[in-house]
Amino acid sequence: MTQERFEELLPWYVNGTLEAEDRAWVEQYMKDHPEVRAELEWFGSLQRRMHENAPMVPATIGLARTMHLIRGDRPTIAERISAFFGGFALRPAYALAGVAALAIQGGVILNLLGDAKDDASEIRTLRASQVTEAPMLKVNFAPDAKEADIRHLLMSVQGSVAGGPGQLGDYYIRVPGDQLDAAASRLKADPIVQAVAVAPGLPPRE
Amino acid sequence: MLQGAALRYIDFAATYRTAMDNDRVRELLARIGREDEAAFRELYKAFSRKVFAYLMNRVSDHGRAEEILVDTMYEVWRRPGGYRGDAQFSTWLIGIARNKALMAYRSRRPDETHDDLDDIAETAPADTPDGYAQLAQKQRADGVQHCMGKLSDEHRECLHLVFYEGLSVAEVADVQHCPEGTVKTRLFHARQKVKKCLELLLQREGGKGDLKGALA
Repeated sequence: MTQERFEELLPWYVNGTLEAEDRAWVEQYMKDHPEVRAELEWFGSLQRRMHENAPMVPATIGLARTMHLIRGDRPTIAERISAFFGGFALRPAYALAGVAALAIQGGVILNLLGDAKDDASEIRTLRASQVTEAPMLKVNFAPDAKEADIRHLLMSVQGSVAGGPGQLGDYYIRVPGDQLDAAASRLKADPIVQAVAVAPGLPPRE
Repeated sequence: MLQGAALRYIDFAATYRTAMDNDRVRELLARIGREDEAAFRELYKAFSRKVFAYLMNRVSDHGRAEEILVDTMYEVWRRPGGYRGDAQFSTWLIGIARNKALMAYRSRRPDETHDDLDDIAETAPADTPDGYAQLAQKQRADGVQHCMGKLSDEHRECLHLVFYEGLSVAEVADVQHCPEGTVKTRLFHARQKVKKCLELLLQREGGKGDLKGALA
Protein backbone atom coordinates (compact mmCIF):
# COMPACT_ATOMS: atom_id res chain seq x y z
CA MET A 1 0.00 0.00 0.00
CA THR A 2 2.76 2.49 0.84
CA GLN A 3 4.49 1.91 -2.52
CA GLU A 4 1.17 2.52 -4.23
CA ARG A 5 0.55 5.63 -2.21
CA PHE A 6 4.03 6.89 -3.07
CA GLU A 7 3.47 6.35 -6.79
CA GLU A 8 0.09 8.03 -6.59
CA LEU A 9 1.49 11.13 -4.86
CA LEU A 10 4.80 11.40 -6.70
CA PRO A 11 3.61 13.30 -9.82
CA TRP A 12 2.13 16.01 -7.64
CA TYR A 13 5.19 16.10 -5.47
CA VAL A 14 7.21 16.73 -8.62
CA ASN A 15 4.91 19.51 -9.81
CA GLY A 16 4.90 21.12 -6.38
CA THR A 17 1.18 21.00 -5.60
CA LEU A 18 1.02 18.51 -2.77
CA GLU A 19 -0.36 19.61 0.57
CA ALA A 20 2.23 19.90 3.33
CA GLU A 21 1.23 16.67 5.05
CA ASP A 22 1.44 14.60 1.86
CA ARG A 23 4.68 16.28 0.87
CA ALA A 24 6.22 15.38 4.20
CA TRP A 25 5.04 11.80 3.80
CA VAL A 26 6.65 11.50 0.35
CA GLU A 27 9.91 12.96 1.58
CA GLN A 28 10.02 10.55 4.49
CA TYR A 29 9.27 7.65 2.17
CA MET A 30 12.13 8.64 -0.10
CA LYS A 31 14.47 8.85 2.88
CA ASP A 32 13.41 5.36 3.91
CA HIS A 33 13.60 3.99 0.35
CA PRO A 34 16.43 5.76 -1.43
CA GLU A 35 16.03 3.48 -4.45
CA VAL A 36 12.85 5.35 -5.45
CA ARG A 37 14.85 8.47 -6.21
CA ALA A 38 15.35 7.08 -9.69
CA GLU A 39 11.60 7.32 -10.26
CA LEU A 40 11.65 10.89 -8.98
CA GLU A 41 14.46 11.66 -11.44
CA TRP A 42 12.48 10.15 -14.27
CA PHE A 43 9.44 12.31 -13.56
CA GLY A 44 11.65 15.35 -13.34
CA SER A 45 13.22 14.48 -16.67
CA LEU A 46 9.78 13.97 -18.23
CA GLN A 47 8.67 17.35 -16.95
CA ARG A 48 11.76 19.08 -18.38
CA ARG A 49 11.34 17.38 -21.76
CA MET A 50 7.73 18.48 -21.94
CA HIS A 51 8.80 22.05 -21.36
CA GLU A 52 11.45 21.73 -24.02
CA ASN A 53 8.64 20.72 -26.39
CA ALA A 54 6.67 23.89 -25.71
CA PRO A 55 5.94 25.68 -28.99
CA MET A 56 8.19 28.67 -29.56
CA VAL A 57 5.69 31.37 -30.44
CA PRO A 58 5.55 35.07 -29.63
CA ALA A 59 3.20 36.26 -26.93
CA THR A 60 1.35 38.21 -29.60
CA ILE A 61 0.28 35.11 -31.52
CA GLY A 62 -3.29 35.62 -32.70
CA LEU A 63 -3.49 39.06 -31.08
CA ALA A 64 -4.11 40.95 -34.31
CA ARG A 65 -7.02 38.67 -35.22
CA THR A 66 -8.45 38.98 -31.75
CA MET A 67 -8.28 42.77 -31.87
CA HIS A 68 -10.00 42.66 -35.25
CA LEU A 69 -12.85 40.69 -33.66
CA ILE A 70 -13.01 43.08 -30.75
CA ARG A 71 -13.22 46.10 -33.00
CA GLY A 72 -16.08 44.36 -34.74
CA ASP A 73 -18.07 45.01 -31.61
CA ARG A 74 -18.09 48.68 -32.42
CA PRO A 75 -20.76 50.02 -34.83
CA THR A 76 -19.70 50.03 -38.45
CA ILE A 77 -21.03 52.34 -41.13
CA ALA A 78 -23.49 49.60 -42.07
CA GLU A 79 -24.81 49.37 -38.54
CA ARG A 80 -25.18 53.12 -38.26
CA ILE A 81 -27.13 53.18 -41.53
CA SER A 82 -29.17 50.25 -40.25
CA ALA A 83 -29.97 52.14 -37.09
CA PHE A 84 -31.02 55.19 -39.18
CA PHE A 85 -33.46 53.03 -41.13
CA GLY A 86 -34.70 51.39 -37.96
CA GLY A 87 -32.56 48.26 -38.09
CA PHE A 88 -33.43 47.37 -41.67
CA ALA A 89 -30.20 45.53 -42.31
CA LEU A 90 -30.99 42.81 -39.80
CA ARG A 91 -34.76 42.61 -40.12
CA PRO A 92 -37.09 41.64 -42.91
CA ALA A 93 -37.69 44.51 -45.26
CA TYR A 94 -41.45 44.14 -45.19
CA ALA A 95 -41.51 46.13 -41.95
CA LEU A 96 -40.27 49.29 -43.70
CA ALA A 97 -42.48 50.73 -46.41
CA GLY A 98 -39.92 53.25 -47.63
CA VAL A 99 -37.28 50.65 -48.25
CA ALA A 100 -39.87 48.39 -49.88
CA ALA A 101 -39.89 50.82 -52.81
CA LEU A 102 -36.26 50.03 -53.40
CA ALA A 103 -36.95 46.37 -52.83
CA ILE A 104 -39.19 46.37 -55.89
CA GLN A 105 -36.07 46.80 -57.96
CA GLY A 106 -34.28 44.00 -56.17
CA GLY A 107 -33.40 45.47 -52.83
CA VAL A 108 -30.34 47.21 -51.48
CA ILE A 109 -27.48 45.27 -50.05
CA LEU A 110 -25.26 46.79 -47.40
CA ASN A 111 -21.98 45.15 -46.54
CA LEU A 112 -21.15 44.50 -42.90
CA LEU A 113 -17.43 44.51 -43.45
CA GLY A 114 -16.62 48.17 -43.53
CA ASP A 115 -12.95 47.53 -44.24
CA ALA A 116 -13.38 44.66 -46.66
CA LYS A 117 -11.77 44.70 -50.06
CA ASP A 118 -13.08 44.07 -53.59
CA ASP A 119 -16.73 43.85 -54.54
CA ALA A 120 -17.89 42.94 -51.04
CA SER A 121 -17.62 46.58 -50.06
CA GLU A 122 -19.87 47.86 -52.84
CA ILE A 123 -23.61 48.17 -52.91
CA ARG A 124 -25.16 45.56 -55.15
CA THR A 125 -28.70 44.85 -56.13
CA LEU A 126 -30.08 41.46 -55.47
CA ARG A 127 -31.56 39.50 -58.32
CA ALA A 128 -32.69 35.94 -58.17
CA SER A 129 -31.96 34.95 -61.72
CA GLN A 130 -28.59 34.75 -63.39
CA VAL A 131 -25.61 33.71 -61.31
CA THR A 132 -21.98 34.21 -62.13
CA GLU A 133 -20.01 32.86 -59.16
CA ALA A 134 -19.28 29.58 -57.37
CA PRO A 135 -21.86 28.04 -55.04
CA MET A 136 -22.18 29.76 -51.69
CA LEU A 137 -24.46 29.76 -48.69
CA LYS A 138 -27.54 31.91 -48.36
CA VAL A 139 -27.99 32.62 -44.68
CA ASN A 140 -30.67 34.30 -42.62
CA PHE A 141 -29.60 35.48 -39.19
CA ALA A 142 -31.85 36.00 -36.20
CA PRO A 143 -33.24 39.54 -35.98
CA ASP A 144 -31.28 40.27 -32.80
CA ALA A 145 -28.01 38.78 -34.04
CA LYS A 146 -25.11 41.10 -33.33
CA GLU A 147 -22.56 41.87 -35.95
CA ALA A 148 -19.73 40.73 -33.68
CA ASP A 149 -21.40 37.35 -33.24
CA ILE A 150 -21.92 37.08 -36.99
CA ARG A 151 -18.28 37.89 -37.65
CA HIS A 152 -17.16 35.41 -35.07
CA LEU A 153 -19.37 32.69 -36.52
CA LEU A 154 -18.19 33.38 -40.05
CA MET A 155 -14.57 33.14 -38.92
CA SER A 156 -15.26 29.70 -37.55
CA VAL A 157 -16.32 28.46 -41.00
CA GLN A 158 -13.69 30.49 -42.88
CA GLY A 159 -16.55 32.43 -44.41
CA SER A 160 -16.80 35.93 -45.74
CA VAL A 161 -19.81 38.03 -46.70
CA ALA A 162 -20.18 38.23 -50.46
CA GLY A 163 -23.44 40.16 -50.31
CA GLY A 164 -26.37 41.02 -48.14
CA PRO A 165 -28.63 41.64 -46.51
CA GLY A 166 -31.30 41.51 -49.16
CA GLN A 167 -34.88 42.55 -48.78
CA LEU A 168 -35.65 39.40 -46.81
CA GLY A 169 -32.49 39.62 -44.74
CA ASP A 170 -30.55 37.14 -46.88
CA TYR A 171 -26.76 37.14 -46.66
CA TYR A 172 -24.56 35.40 -49.21
CA ILE A 173 -21.56 33.78 -47.59
CA ARG A 174 -18.46 32.52 -49.39
CA VAL A 175 -16.74 29.48 -47.88
CA PRO A 176 -13.97 27.21 -49.20
CA GLY A 177 -15.48 25.02 -51.90
CA ASP A 178 -14.68 21.71 -50.27
CA GLN A 179 -16.21 22.80 -46.96
CA LEU A 180 -19.61 23.92 -48.18
CA ASP A 181 -21.54 21.11 -46.48
CA ALA A 182 -19.56 21.25 -43.27
CA ALA A 183 -19.96 25.04 -43.10
CA ALA A 184 -23.71 24.75 -43.72
CA SER A 185 -24.04 22.25 -40.87
CA ARG A 186 -22.00 24.42 -38.53
CA LEU A 187 -24.05 27.50 -39.35
CA LYS A 188 -27.38 25.69 -38.98
CA ALA A 189 -26.37 24.53 -35.52
CA ASP A 190 -25.73 28.08 -34.30
CA PRO A 191 -28.59 29.80 -32.45
CA ILE A 192 -28.08 33.12 -34.28
CA VAL A 193 -28.84 31.47 -37.64
CA GLN A 194 -32.43 30.99 -38.71
CA ALA A 195 -31.94 29.41 -42.11
CA VAL A 196 -29.16 28.18 -44.38
CA ALA A 197 -29.38 27.11 -48.00
CA VAL A 198 -26.88 26.49 -50.75
CA ALA A 199 -27.17 29.14 -53.43
CA PRO A 200 -25.79 28.69 -56.94
CA GLY A 201 -23.96 31.98 -56.62
CA LEU A 202 -24.21 35.68 -56.13
CA PRO A 203 -26.27 37.54 -58.69
CA PRO A 204 -24.31 39.97 -60.86
CA ARG A 205 -24.44 43.64 -60.12
CA GLU A 206 -26.79 45.76 -62.18
CA MET B 1 13.56 17.75 5.06
CA LEU B 2 14.54 16.65 1.58
CA GLN B 3 17.20 18.59 -0.26
CA GLY B 4 18.99 18.57 -3.54
CA ALA B 5 17.14 16.88 -6.40
CA ALA B 6 13.71 16.98 -4.78
CA LEU B 7 13.90 20.68 -3.97
CA ARG B 8 15.07 21.42 -7.49
CA TYR B 9 11.84 19.98 -8.88
CA ILE B 10 9.66 21.95 -6.53
CA ASP B 11 11.43 25.22 -7.42
CA PHE B 12 11.08 24.44 -11.12
CA ALA B 13 7.35 23.78 -10.71
CA ALA B 14 6.82 27.04 -8.84
CA THR B 15 8.50 29.23 -11.42
CA TYR B 16 6.42 28.17 -14.38
CA ARG B 17 3.11 27.85 -12.56
CA THR B 18 2.30 31.60 -12.36
CA ALA B 19 2.41 33.82 -15.42
CA MET B 20 0.80 36.77 -13.56
CA ASP B 21 -0.56 36.95 -10.03
CA ASN B 22 -4.31 36.88 -9.57
CA ASP B 23 -4.54 40.39 -8.12
CA ARG B 24 -3.08 41.85 -11.28
CA VAL B 25 -5.37 39.62 -13.34
CA ARG B 26 -8.44 40.91 -11.50
CA GLU B 27 -7.31 44.47 -11.98
CA LEU B 28 -6.91 43.95 -15.71
CA LEU B 29 -10.24 42.16 -16.01
CA ALA B 30 -11.99 45.07 -14.34
CA ARG B 31 -10.46 47.40 -16.92
CA ILE B 32 -11.37 45.03 -19.73
CA GLY B 33 -14.94 45.26 -18.48
CA ARG B 34 -14.67 48.95 -19.31
CA GLU B 35 -13.38 48.07 -22.79
CA ASP B 36 -9.78 48.95 -22.00
CA GLU B 37 -7.84 47.49 -24.95
CA ALA B 38 -4.44 48.13 -23.36
CA ALA B 39 -5.45 46.01 -20.36
CA PHE B 40 -6.65 43.27 -22.68
CA ARG B 41 -3.38 43.30 -24.60
CA GLU B 42 -1.39 42.98 -21.40
CA LEU B 43 -3.49 40.05 -20.21
CA TYR B 44 -3.36 38.46 -23.62
CA LYS B 45 0.42 38.55 -23.81
CA ALA B 46 0.75 37.16 -20.30
CA PHE B 47 -1.30 34.03 -21.04
CA SER B 48 -1.33 33.41 -24.78
CA ARG B 49 1.69 31.10 -24.86
CA LYS B 50 0.34 28.98 -22.06
CA VAL B 51 -3.04 28.56 -23.73
CA PHE B 52 -1.42 27.97 -27.10
CA ALA B 53 0.82 25.25 -25.65
CA TYR B 54 -2.25 23.55 -24.19
CA LEU B 55 -4.07 23.77 -27.53
CA MET B 56 -1.11 22.42 -29.49
CA ASN B 57 -1.11 19.48 -27.11
CA ARG B 58 -4.81 19.11 -27.81
CA VAL B 59 -5.16 19.62 -31.57
CA SER B 60 -1.56 19.27 -32.83
CA ASP B 61 -2.07 21.84 -35.56
CA HIS B 62 -0.64 25.36 -35.42
CA GLY B 63 -3.43 26.99 -37.43
CA ARG B 64 -6.22 25.35 -35.49
CA ALA B 65 -4.56 26.05 -32.16
CA GLU B 66 -4.24 29.73 -33.05
CA GLU B 67 -7.86 29.89 -34.18
CA ILE B 68 -9.09 28.44 -30.90
CA LEU B 69 -6.72 30.70 -28.96
CA VAL B 70 -8.30 33.72 -30.65
CA ASP B 71 -11.74 32.33 -29.84
CA THR B 72 -10.76 31.80 -26.22
CA MET B 73 -9.24 35.20 -25.63
CA TYR B 74 -12.14 36.90 -27.40
CA GLU B 75 -14.36 35.21 -24.85
CA VAL B 76 -12.34 36.92 -22.12
CA TRP B 77 -12.99 40.25 -23.80
CA ARG B 78 -16.70 39.56 -24.07
CA ARG B 79 -17.18 38.18 -20.57
CA PRO B 80 -14.41 39.30 -18.20
CA GLY B 81 -16.84 38.86 -15.33
CA GLY B 82 -16.99 35.14 -16.08
CA TYR B 83 -13.86 34.63 -14.01
CA ARG B 84 -14.92 34.45 -10.39
CA GLY B 85 -11.47 34.02 -8.84
CA ASP B 86 -12.09 30.64 -7.25
CA ALA B 87 -9.30 29.03 -9.29
CA GLN B 88 -6.13 30.14 -11.01
CA PHE B 89 -6.95 32.35 -13.97
CA SER B 90 -4.90 30.15 -16.27
CA THR B 91 -6.96 27.13 -15.19
CA TRP B 92 -10.16 29.01 -16.03
CA LEU B 93 -8.72 30.00 -19.41
CA ILE B 94 -7.71 26.44 -20.17
CA GLY B 95 -11.22 25.33 -19.32
CA ILE B 96 -12.60 27.71 -21.95
CA ALA B 97 -10.00 26.64 -24.49
CA ARG B 98 -10.81 23.02 -23.82
CA ASN B 99 -14.51 23.50 -24.44
CA LYS B 100 -13.87 25.39 -27.64
CA ALA B 101 -11.48 22.71 -28.85
CA LEU B 102 -14.03 20.03 -28.08
CA MET B 103 -16.76 21.91 -29.91
CA ALA B 104 -14.67 22.71 -32.92
CA TYR B 105 -12.89 19.48 -33.58
CA ARG B 106 -13.54 15.80 -33.19
CA SER B 107 -11.42 13.87 -30.75
CA ARG B 108 -8.46 11.96 -32.02
CA ARG B 109 -8.57 8.23 -32.02
CA PRO B 110 -8.10 6.39 -28.72
CA ASP B 111 -4.74 5.02 -27.69
CA GLU B 112 -3.09 3.03 -30.39
CA THR B 113 -2.52 -0.56 -29.55
CA HIS B 114 1.13 -1.15 -29.03
CA ASP B 115 1.20 -4.86 -29.67
CA ASP B 116 4.95 -4.77 -29.86
CA LEU B 117 5.20 -3.43 -26.31
CA ASP B 118 4.37 -6.85 -24.95
CA ASP B 119 7.33 -8.29 -26.82
CA ILE B 120 9.84 -6.21 -24.96
CA ALA B 121 8.78 -7.43 -21.53
CA GLU B 122 11.88 -9.60 -21.13
CA THR B 123 14.49 -7.17 -22.28
CA ALA B 124 13.03 -3.77 -21.43
CA PRO B 125 13.94 -2.22 -18.11
CA ALA B 126 11.14 -2.90 -15.64
CA ASP B 127 10.06 -0.50 -12.94
CA THR B 128 13.47 -0.77 -11.35
CA PRO B 129 15.78 1.99 -10.23
CA ASP B 130 18.17 1.13 -13.05
CA GLY B 131 15.36 1.20 -15.58
CA TYR B 132 14.16 4.62 -14.46
CA ALA B 133 17.70 5.95 -14.33
CA GLN B 134 18.37 4.81 -17.88
CA LEU B 135 15.24 6.48 -19.16
CA ALA B 136 15.88 9.66 -17.24
CA GLN B 137 19.33 9.95 -18.78
CA LYS B 138 18.49 9.00 -22.31
CA GLN B 139 14.98 10.22 -23.09
CA ARG B 140 14.89 13.36 -25.17
CA ALA B 141 12.23 15.91 -25.92
CA ASP B 142 11.44 14.47 -29.33
CA GLY B 143 11.10 10.95 -27.92
CA VAL B 144 8.73 12.21 -25.25
CA GLN B 145 6.77 14.15 -27.85
CA HIS B 146 6.52 11.09 -30.06
CA CYS B 147 5.20 8.96 -27.21
CA MET B 148 2.81 11.62 -25.96
CA GLY B 149 1.38 11.75 -29.46
CA LYS B 150 0.33 8.12 -29.17
CA LEU B 151 -1.86 8.71 -26.14
CA SER B 152 -5.60 9.35 -26.12
CA ASP B 153 -6.71 12.96 -25.74
CA GLU B 154 -7.60 12.48 -22.07
CA HIS B 155 -4.31 10.81 -21.14
CA ARG B 156 -2.18 13.30 -23.04
CA GLU B 157 -4.14 16.19 -21.60
CA CYS B 158 -3.74 14.80 -18.10
CA LEU B 159 0.04 14.60 -18.46
CA HIS B 160 0.15 18.11 -19.89
CA LEU B 161 -1.94 19.58 -17.10
CA VAL B 162 0.16 17.92 -14.40
CA PHE B 163 3.67 18.31 -15.75
CA TYR B 164 3.44 21.35 -17.99
CA GLU B 165 0.73 23.39 -16.33
CA GLY B 166 1.60 22.19 -12.81
CA LEU B 167 -2.02 21.76 -11.73
CA SER B 168 -3.05 20.00 -8.55
CA VAL B 169 -5.15 16.85 -8.76
CA ALA B 170 -8.25 18.88 -7.84
CA GLU B 171 -7.54 21.41 -10.59
CA VAL B 172 -7.01 18.70 -13.17
CA ALA B 173 -10.28 17.07 -12.09
CA ASP B 174 -12.00 20.43 -12.52
CA VAL B 175 -10.63 20.94 -16.03
CA GLN B 176 -11.35 17.39 -17.15
CA HIS B 177 -14.77 17.27 -15.42
CA CYS B 178 -14.07 13.99 -13.68
CA PRO B 179 -13.46 12.73 -10.14
CA GLU B 180 -10.00 13.03 -8.62
CA GLY B 181 -9.72 9.26 -8.55
CA THR B 182 -10.16 9.19 -12.33
CA VAL B 183 -7.39 11.76 -12.70
CA LYS B 184 -5.03 9.60 -10.68
CA THR B 185 -5.93 6.53 -12.69
CA ARG B 186 -5.50 8.37 -15.96
CA LEU B 187 -2.13 9.70 -14.91
CA PHE B 188 -1.00 6.28 -13.83
CA HIS B 189 -1.96 4.73 -17.18
CA ALA B 190 -0.62 7.67 -19.18
CA ARG B 191 2.78 7.54 -17.55
CA GLN B 192 2.92 3.74 -17.92
CA LYS B 193 2.21 4.07 -21.64
CA VAL B 194 4.73 6.84 -22.14
CA LYS B 195 7.31 4.88 -20.22
CA LYS B 196 6.70 1.73 -22.27
CA CYS B 197 6.87 3.71 -25.48
CA LEU B 198 10.16 5.31 -24.46
CA GLU B 199 11.57 1.95 -23.48
CA LEU B 200 10.64 0.63 -26.91
CA LEU B 201 12.34 3.58 -28.58
CA LEU B 202 15.45 2.97 -26.50
CA GLN B 203 15.46 -0.69 -27.42
CA ARG B 204 15.08 0.06 -31.12
CA GLU B 205 17.69 2.75 -30.99
CA GLY B 206 20.08 0.43 -29.32
CA GLY B 207 19.32 -2.46 -31.71
CA LYS B 208 18.77 -1.16 -35.24
CA GLY B 209 19.00 2.59 -34.99
CA ASP B 210 15.77 2.85 -36.99
CA LEU B 211 14.54 5.80 -34.99
CA LYS B 212 17.60 7.93 -35.46
CA GLY B 213 17.46 11.02 -33.38
CA ALA B 214 14.58 9.83 -31.24
CA LEU B 215 16.80 9.58 -28.23
CA ALA B 216 20.16 10.92 -27.19
